[in-house]
Amino acid sequence: MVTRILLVLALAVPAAIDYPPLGPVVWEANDRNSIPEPKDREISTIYDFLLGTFAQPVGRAADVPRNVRGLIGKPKEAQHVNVLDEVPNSSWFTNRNFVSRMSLEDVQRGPGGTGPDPQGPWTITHCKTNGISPGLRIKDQKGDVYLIKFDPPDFPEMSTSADAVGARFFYAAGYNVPENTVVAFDETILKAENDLECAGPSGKMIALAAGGLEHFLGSVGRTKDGRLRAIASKFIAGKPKGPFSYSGVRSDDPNDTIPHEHRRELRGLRVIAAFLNHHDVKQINTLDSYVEENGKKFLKHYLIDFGSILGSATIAPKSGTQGNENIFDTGEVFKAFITLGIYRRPGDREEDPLHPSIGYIEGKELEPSKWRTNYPIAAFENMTDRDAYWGAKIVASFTNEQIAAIVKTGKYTDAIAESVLIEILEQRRDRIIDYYFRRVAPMDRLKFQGNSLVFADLAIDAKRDDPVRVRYQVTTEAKNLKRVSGTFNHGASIPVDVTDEPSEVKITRTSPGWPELSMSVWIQRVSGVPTVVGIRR
Amino acid sequence: MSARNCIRILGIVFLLSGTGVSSEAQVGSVVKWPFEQVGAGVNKALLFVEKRPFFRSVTARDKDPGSGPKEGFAPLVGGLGDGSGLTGGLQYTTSFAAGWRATVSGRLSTHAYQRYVFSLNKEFGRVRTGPELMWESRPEEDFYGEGSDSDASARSTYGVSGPRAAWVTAAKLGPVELRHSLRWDRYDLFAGRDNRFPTTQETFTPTEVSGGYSNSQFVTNQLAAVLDYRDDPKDPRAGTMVTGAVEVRNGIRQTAANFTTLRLAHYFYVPLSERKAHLFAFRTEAVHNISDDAIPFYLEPTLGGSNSLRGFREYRFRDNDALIATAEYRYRIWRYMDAVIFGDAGQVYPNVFKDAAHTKMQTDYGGGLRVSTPIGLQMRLNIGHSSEGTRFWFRLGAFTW
Repeated sequence: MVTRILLVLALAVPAAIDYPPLGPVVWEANDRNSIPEPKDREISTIYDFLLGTFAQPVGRAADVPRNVRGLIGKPKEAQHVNVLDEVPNSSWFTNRNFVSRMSLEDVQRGPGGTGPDPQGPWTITHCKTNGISPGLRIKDQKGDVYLIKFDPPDFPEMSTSADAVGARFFYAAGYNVPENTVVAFDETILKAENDLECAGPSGKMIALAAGGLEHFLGSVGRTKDGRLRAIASKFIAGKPKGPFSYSGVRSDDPNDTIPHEHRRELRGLRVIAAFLNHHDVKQINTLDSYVEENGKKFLKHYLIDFGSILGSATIAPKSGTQGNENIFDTGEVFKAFITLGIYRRPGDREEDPLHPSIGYIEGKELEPSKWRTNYPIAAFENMTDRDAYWGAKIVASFTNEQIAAIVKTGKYTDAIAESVLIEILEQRRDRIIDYYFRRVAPMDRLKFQGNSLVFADLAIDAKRDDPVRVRYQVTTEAKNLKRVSGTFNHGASIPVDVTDEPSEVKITRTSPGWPELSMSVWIQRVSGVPTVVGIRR
Repeated sequence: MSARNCIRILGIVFLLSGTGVSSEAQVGSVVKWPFEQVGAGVNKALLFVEKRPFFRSVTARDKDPGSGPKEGFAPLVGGLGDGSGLTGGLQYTTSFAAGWRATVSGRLSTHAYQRYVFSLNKEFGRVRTGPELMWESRPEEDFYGEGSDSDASARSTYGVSGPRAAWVTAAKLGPVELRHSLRWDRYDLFAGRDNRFPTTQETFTPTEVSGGYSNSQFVTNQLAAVLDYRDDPKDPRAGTMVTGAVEVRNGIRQTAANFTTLRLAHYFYVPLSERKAHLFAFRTEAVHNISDDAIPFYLEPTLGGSNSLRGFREYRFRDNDALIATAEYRYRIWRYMDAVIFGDAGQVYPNVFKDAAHTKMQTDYGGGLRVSTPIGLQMRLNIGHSSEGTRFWFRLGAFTW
């Protein structure tokens, strides 16, 4: 038995050697090479639920090396990061607001597009039958194809606004998203293609041209003046090839070499999803598209369908438990059972949402570590503190002005609801910063100015800590020679000796009321220029 | 130690005590195997199901509550009563000329209980009317003798089957629904097929059972009224409902018995929180028969089973009249599941008005779960305890109250 345990430890520990890869900073991943056209991939909604809720948790519980690493505090870190612990641009992700702050116009524009021409006519070519909200696929005058989806009648603006706002936040964060635009239009511009039949609420096919459209539109939300209001989501360029998985790789995509559960941009997505209360993260809400860019044909990976973010659960406001527990959460069920229902679950509430157009979303009550999706997502379950910090600094990069600018694209007619939502998102951002920036040293953007090392303190930049009270103790180490360089205030340039060999600079951050947080930076003279060649948080 | 670490340690112990230690890649492949091989097959099968209009019609049920069955095929579960085993079936509904709607359905259980129904109806404003034809077979019914002092060890089995033809008219006037049916029904008795027990015909002489063992036919006039102030008829959590029915049965051909049955039931729900996550639910129900003739034993009211005295076997007590009162505390433990603590009291009587005062009620208590799935399927699981032991009930199909 002891031998077995030692063998397991021996297998697990080498993967956790605390020494970062050193070398040139890679900002572009090599995953956009031409590949043969992959097959369509389909995933059953029920299967995805069963997989995430039951099968994968069992698999994780039975994964010995993973559990050993978890016990000794050395979880497997993400594989898809550069020497600065950043995610390179790829077919999955493009560094945007954190690396280079976007203008207010840019965050509002998001992936671009102004939606279909509201003058019409719009030709209905298909009906959306999957998912929980009704939708139509239309072709506008220009020939552009959109999926239009509507609000539930009792909660006008709720899901359509969430869809527009969500797309812009995720775009600014760095993800590929469709062009989502809120549109209001007269239903007379809708023309059904000849003989088009759609499944009605009872499942029976109904002809849209023969009165079926009125039936279809009878249960959707409208504007106060009776027009239809919808989210118009432009069809993504390329050929749709089905959703991507949050675990494993796609076998027919030679560019896809890193298991998705180990991709930083998917692990760290958990924090960004928590910020936006996107409790409905799942395979169905993603899409791989076979695109051609710069003469190369490859799969590009998108997040889609944000109707269930913020306070919306698409067809109704979020319940108190959505975002606070998985759909099937044995622990919460057991607690409720043995206490005869007296136990109050996290997020449990009695009152209706104050603002129907924004639904229900917590602000300063958010507990980032306890936030949950509908069911466990493999990549999220693998998130380490470093992954979380990466996600948190993207969340922290959204300024109050940017948040307000993006929320305005939701076209809320209730100005009070809009301002409440802005305030709530600011509170959620700050809760995330306060939690994750206390677990990993928030010193970032390290670079040399001459021979001095300079860096930003993201907690101070986000106004969550006082620059006057923060101190940094710096220690350098090279070839067993240890030298304390001293203690510095915020904003100071740190003079360090840089040689042709990599040397480690350890920076320890102290601030009253904060835990002591350390990070190591490896520096080296490259082509005669002092350079940061590695980071370990 | 956190729960997560406990799970990790359990996982490690589990594997180390088993097939030995593998490299990470090997463990990974072992762990992934079910996902990649079996999973692909399961995914394909579920995709096939999800794409059927049939599946959409099932999942659409809760989102489009309306009157009457939905168009097209729909699955049926349960509905043949306690002791019938697992029941499944299919229903097909279609509309045709002049607004008539036809429904045909069939149910079959693992104990060979069967029911086939064909109905035709048309709506005239608030009134719906039309004919209904049915044939039903119940081959494993239980009989312990009649009266409150029947012997639990005298369990016997009988079967009954027969056709029914009716003209049914229903009118909905706000919270009140009136229903009238004029029907002919026939009951053919046969030896029970539950071979664990002797047949009723062997165990009890014809004079020991009300109405003997002769087959019977009736013309029945039934008038019922329902006053429904519940918040959600599919899963009520607040409000009240009262139902009353008068049923006049006249025996025809060789059937001499004529009798009138009065039924009154009251359901009352008291939510204890604004979201109705906790509630008390009460039910009282009384059945009284007025007749100078012997009422066939298979038409007498019964107590015992998943829907009345849950600590007793199904159909444990029967007599001319019956009284049942139930109280439940229901509390939400999951978005699709309530836990229940309940107590039942009930008794059967030759005449409830004369005998109720001096006959002790049968009582039981227990707990259970009520599951209401997002695709409309509902199920109940109850465990009841009484002086005759502990009974376990699992029931698929729509909640009855």
